[in-house]
Amino acid sequence: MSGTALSTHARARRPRGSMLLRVVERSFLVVAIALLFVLFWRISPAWMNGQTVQFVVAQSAPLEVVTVGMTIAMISGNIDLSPGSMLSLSGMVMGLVYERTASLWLGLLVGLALCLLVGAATGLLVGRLRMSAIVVTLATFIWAAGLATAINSANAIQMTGSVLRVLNAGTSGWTVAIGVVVFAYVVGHLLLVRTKFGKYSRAIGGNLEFARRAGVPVQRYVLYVFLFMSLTIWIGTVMSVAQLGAAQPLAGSGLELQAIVAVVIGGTRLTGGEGSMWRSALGALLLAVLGQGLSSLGLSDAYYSLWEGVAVIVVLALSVVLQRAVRRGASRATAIGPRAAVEGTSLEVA
Amino acid sequence: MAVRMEGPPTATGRRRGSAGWSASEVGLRLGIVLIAAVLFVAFALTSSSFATLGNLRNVLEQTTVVGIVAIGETVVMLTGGIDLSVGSSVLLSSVVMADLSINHGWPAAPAILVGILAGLAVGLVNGLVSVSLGIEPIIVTLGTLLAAGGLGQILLNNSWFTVRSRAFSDVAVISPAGVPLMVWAMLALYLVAMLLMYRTTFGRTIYAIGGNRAAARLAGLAVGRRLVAVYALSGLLAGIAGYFEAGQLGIISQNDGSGMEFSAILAVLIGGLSVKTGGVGRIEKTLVGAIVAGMIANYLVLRGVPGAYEQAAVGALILAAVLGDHVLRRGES
Repeated sequence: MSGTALSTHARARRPRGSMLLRVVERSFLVVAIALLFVLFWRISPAWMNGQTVQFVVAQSAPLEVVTVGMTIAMISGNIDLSPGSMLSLSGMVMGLVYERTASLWLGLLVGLALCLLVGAATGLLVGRLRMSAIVVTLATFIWAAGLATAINSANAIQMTGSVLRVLNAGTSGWTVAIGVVVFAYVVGHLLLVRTKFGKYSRAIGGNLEFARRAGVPVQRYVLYVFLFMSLTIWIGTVMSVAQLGAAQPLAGSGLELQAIVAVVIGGTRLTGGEGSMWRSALGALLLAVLGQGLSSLGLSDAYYSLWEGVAVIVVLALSVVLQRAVRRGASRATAIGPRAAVEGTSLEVA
Repeated sequence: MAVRMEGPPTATGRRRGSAGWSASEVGLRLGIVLIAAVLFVAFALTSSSFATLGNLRNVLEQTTVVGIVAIGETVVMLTGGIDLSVGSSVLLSSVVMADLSINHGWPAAPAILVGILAGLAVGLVNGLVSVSLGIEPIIVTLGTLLAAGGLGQILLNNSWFTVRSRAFSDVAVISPAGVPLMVWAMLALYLVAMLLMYRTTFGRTIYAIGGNRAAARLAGLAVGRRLVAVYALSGLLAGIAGYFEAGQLGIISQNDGSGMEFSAILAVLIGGLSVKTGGVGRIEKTLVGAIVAGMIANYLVLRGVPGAYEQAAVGALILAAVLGDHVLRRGES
């Protein structure tokens, strides 16, 4: 049994400080999301109706699904900058195959193979060769975006088919796509808390060297992390294609940073080791409301991006301040927090 | 692993970062230079127009704006942080100076100065927010990327600025010893940055913070204030780069600076700075990294690679270069 895994468990169950503070921090994202809904509703009353919530979730389905993979990647101390470009690229490849063979299934399969192939390559380079995930995925971010625009001279490819129609089917806005999103989060949550995969991911992110020494097959599990990430990218691609009715060369642009922000708003630190799938879901939902609400105001791109940036900083500032206050309360409550223990070790060795 | 903000650096990182530059470090320093040399020879052999004076001048000129931005990015990444807002700062700075001089009749000098200060302001916001609230820099600077970019777009108002003043164009036109003024300015800035990082207390503090932030804090270093200064410096350099961007292009449009954060980070990474740990890396290697990226892009244009495929090839070649560097490093250590 690995000491790191034990300590991450201990961290999850450690006694907390002020109860009130903890409740405020826990509910902060829900309150913020509700406030955003109310805000946009006050500004443009027509936006809010019985289907707005469904619409918001369904419109941002690719982001929400990719966030599941990003959460585990970031908990394992890795990061993936490639989802946006890979979503565009795999969509265009699907479109190309579909156009040539008229088989949607074949297109989807080739897209899946491409995603898994790139994910496996990333996993091997990061896990086995110990290259930095940022460097490897930044390169993918560039070449995949280039290929995606080159592949069909930057023209979209129309795609239709029963599989894609199924995703958009549903009653009063509750589409199958929303079901897939919920399913992805449930699976992601179970993977994270119930399986060896989740436990080892947390251990690797908590302290890679400790995990290795404790006998965690680090190389293999880093590979799994990126394979899982690429699987969510593929699902996101299918959803994006279903939504747009076409593969578009810029479909995923900016997605990687949004997914990272969603995970960070959800309280996962970039250093990894801990995090929660539900809170990532709330982070993604918050970005979705923000994005859809802002576009409902009919702002120009310039004002849209200005407000999005300001809102991201404000929300993060608030949530981080709260998280910190809770952490401080917690470290007062425990004699020696795991974080302090880890830092202490590094100082000793230094 | 992702950008390490704090926590234990790996054993190897600590050994390299702690004291002086060992024999293996000298080997590492050669790594990227060696790759640059190999690429240069390969490009020169396969394209007759690559190794001409005029073209090499082009490569340097194309590298200047990214190269200057990359100085600030290097210093930021040395502390274990990251600055995603630099591309937007370049845009904002050049838009502000163009707007002031064209629409408000300001003389060139104060307009340019205020533009550069706009870049500095973005950097200050990054530093103050991330340090005082303890938010991950990648998120704060993503926020300012959006916000500063949005501000620039608002000033542009779906149009573009054409700067005709000599104060702008001179940087690309006047060429002492056949090399444009802006390239000299970039080299001078690298020299200043090297002096700052290797010869001053400030520089040593930055390396200490990147090597082990907790230890630096325990040693009584003003970590927070230094970090604010680092992000401000990055913003200032992006502001200066904005001036050269305006001078070089003469036209400022909404795509200027977009994606430049990634080009700058790439230059730093190709230069071999360790993202994992911070605290390890050299300013001058970033220059080599920027030039390598510039050479690759230039070569692809010379070979007539179609525009869209160029980006794909750049990404692949950069991965190959980083992989090569990585393998070399492993051999060294």
